[in-house]
Amino acid sequence: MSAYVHDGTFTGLVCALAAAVSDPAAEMADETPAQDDLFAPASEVGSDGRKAADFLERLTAVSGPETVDNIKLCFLSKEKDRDSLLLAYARRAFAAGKGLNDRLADPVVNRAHKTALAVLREAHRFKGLVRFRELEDGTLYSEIEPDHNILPLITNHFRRRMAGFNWILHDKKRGLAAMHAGGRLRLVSALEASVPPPSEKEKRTASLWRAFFDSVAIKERLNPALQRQFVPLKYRKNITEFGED
Amino acid sequence: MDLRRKIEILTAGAKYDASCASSGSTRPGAGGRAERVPGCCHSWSADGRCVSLLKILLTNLCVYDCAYCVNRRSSDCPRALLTPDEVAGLTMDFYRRNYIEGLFLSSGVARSPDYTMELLIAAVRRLRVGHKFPGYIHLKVIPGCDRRLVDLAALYADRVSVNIELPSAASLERLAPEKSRDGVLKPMARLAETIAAGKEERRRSRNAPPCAPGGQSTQLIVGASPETDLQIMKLSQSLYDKLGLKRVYYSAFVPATTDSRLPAVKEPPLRREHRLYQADWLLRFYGFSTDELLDEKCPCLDLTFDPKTVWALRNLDRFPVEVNKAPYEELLRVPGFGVLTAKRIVRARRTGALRLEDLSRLGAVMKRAVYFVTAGGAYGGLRRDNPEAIRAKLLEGPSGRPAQPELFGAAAETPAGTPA
Repeated sequence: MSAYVHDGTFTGLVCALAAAVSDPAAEMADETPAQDDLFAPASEVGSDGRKAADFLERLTAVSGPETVDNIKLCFLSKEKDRDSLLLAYARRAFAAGKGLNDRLADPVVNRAHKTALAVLREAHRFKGLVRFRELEDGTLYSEIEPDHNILPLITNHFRRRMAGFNWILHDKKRGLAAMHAGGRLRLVSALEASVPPPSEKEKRTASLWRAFFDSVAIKERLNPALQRQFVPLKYRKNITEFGED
Repeated sequence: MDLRRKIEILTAGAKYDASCASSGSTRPGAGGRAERVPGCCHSWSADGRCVSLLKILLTNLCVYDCAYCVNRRSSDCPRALLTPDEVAGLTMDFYRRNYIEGLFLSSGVARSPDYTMELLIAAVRRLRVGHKFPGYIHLKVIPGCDRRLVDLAALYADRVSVNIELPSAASLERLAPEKSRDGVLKPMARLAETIAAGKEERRRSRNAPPCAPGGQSTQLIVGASPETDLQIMKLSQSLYDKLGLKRVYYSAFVPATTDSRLPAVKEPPLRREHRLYQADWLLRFYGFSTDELLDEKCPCLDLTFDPKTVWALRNLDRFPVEVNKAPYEELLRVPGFGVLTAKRIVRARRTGALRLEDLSRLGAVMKRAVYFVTAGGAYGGLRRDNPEAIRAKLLEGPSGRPAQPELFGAAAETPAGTPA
């Protein structure tokens, strides 16, 4: 039995799945395995784009395009046993064939779908929850700390919505950023630490927004539990209307 | 007056409008196609209602004296007026920062319906033409305004609405004597025509200008007048069927004014409002009709149980439903099954028979559904012909104690997991 380790990239993960799927005794090493584990040696799988693409094509041919969509979404999930789940899902794909994604009552298929849906839902939520602030140079800057790695799923939305502006979406948790400047989009993996100060107008606009937000609630209907369900406390530190003037 | 103070006054005057949706529209924007996510909520206020639009009045000055309204002429409240430039500037500033999806602009009636409507149109024209605003605009149409202005509203806005407010002509006469039923229904009929014609136009030519692509909606105040839920739902159903409305909103009456013509209520009837939304959802997404939910004998929605459960208990002869065989339409009628669950069941049963224990994994709320379904013949509920026993069981919490009141008792608009 061996546990497969990869470099953390999507290509790396797919290569590991490709290698592990045909070996019934293989597992995915969800955490980096302890070095002295002699009985379950870890095999480091290389990251080979060609190999990965081939494997995804095979999966699609066997079980339909939905499987690969789900694997891509699950890859962005924060679930600790993500890789084991995906290995089990890929094995099911070769066993079940075309009907794979109809098997929603199957625990593995069910979990793969649910995990993908959870990632999609958080991405959808963040299309609304992202808050930009205007910096001195006019750039609109936003910090987010989502549970899942949803940045790649929301950049296109903001690219269309804010086509004429320079903006930065910064996932502080993962040190990733999408930067849009002069009509071009770049993804960077380490953003320099210091953010320029906000523009002169920024403080006043944020304050006007908070004035609106506080006035729009109907006090006879206050329901903080319901509000928490929609905007969990964990998200609030980056949301303008939950801050102070 | 300082802008901040104006915002406070004019938001407080607009907040009783329940409408919040920003769905159903794609408008070509300044920088290519502006993507409008269906039902994109940006925040939730302290009352748990979704905030997706800058919901504000142009002015809370009003020549009318409607008994239920905070902005009525005789109310002793501070008054304010925003200029079209202020509205457009605020909307742009908020939109760029992703605070909002767009603007919801309403108004008290200053001077006359036509005068007010012209101001409203000036503000949204400033946004669309001056600022090339690609976001969402929901514009109120002032009852009694000229039909030319109604058409202009549809040209600039994604969604337009005229609020009926009071569900019967008699109540309107009593509580809003200066408004007429006709003044409300005429612009709605005009909008229905314009929107249908605009759609036809777009079908023929892709370059035809958009015409309120998000359709029209309206709002009914619940609990300020004596209409029953049956009357309210009948009205809603005919608005959906005959005028093609996209949404009817229900707003629990908040006793913000004292007037001898109004009922003495201490608290807004939130539970009743919630049940009306559930019934409304059953009409629009679950294939129910008003007649099935309410009749002259029981003209009010049950406050203890949701309307689908009430219907199921009254029609136990149609249950239990076999989840492996029943058509989709019947699955939708099972208490504890939503649209998504019913779809998943139909999909999953293609590959093999489902068992009772599979259903909660597919999203069913088995606490309720268990009395109404079988899976491969297996039934996990009580005696199938005893609605009283089922009712008692449904009222119990998991430990046999009476259940906690639901969190959503006071829910705003969208029941979880339902499309906006």
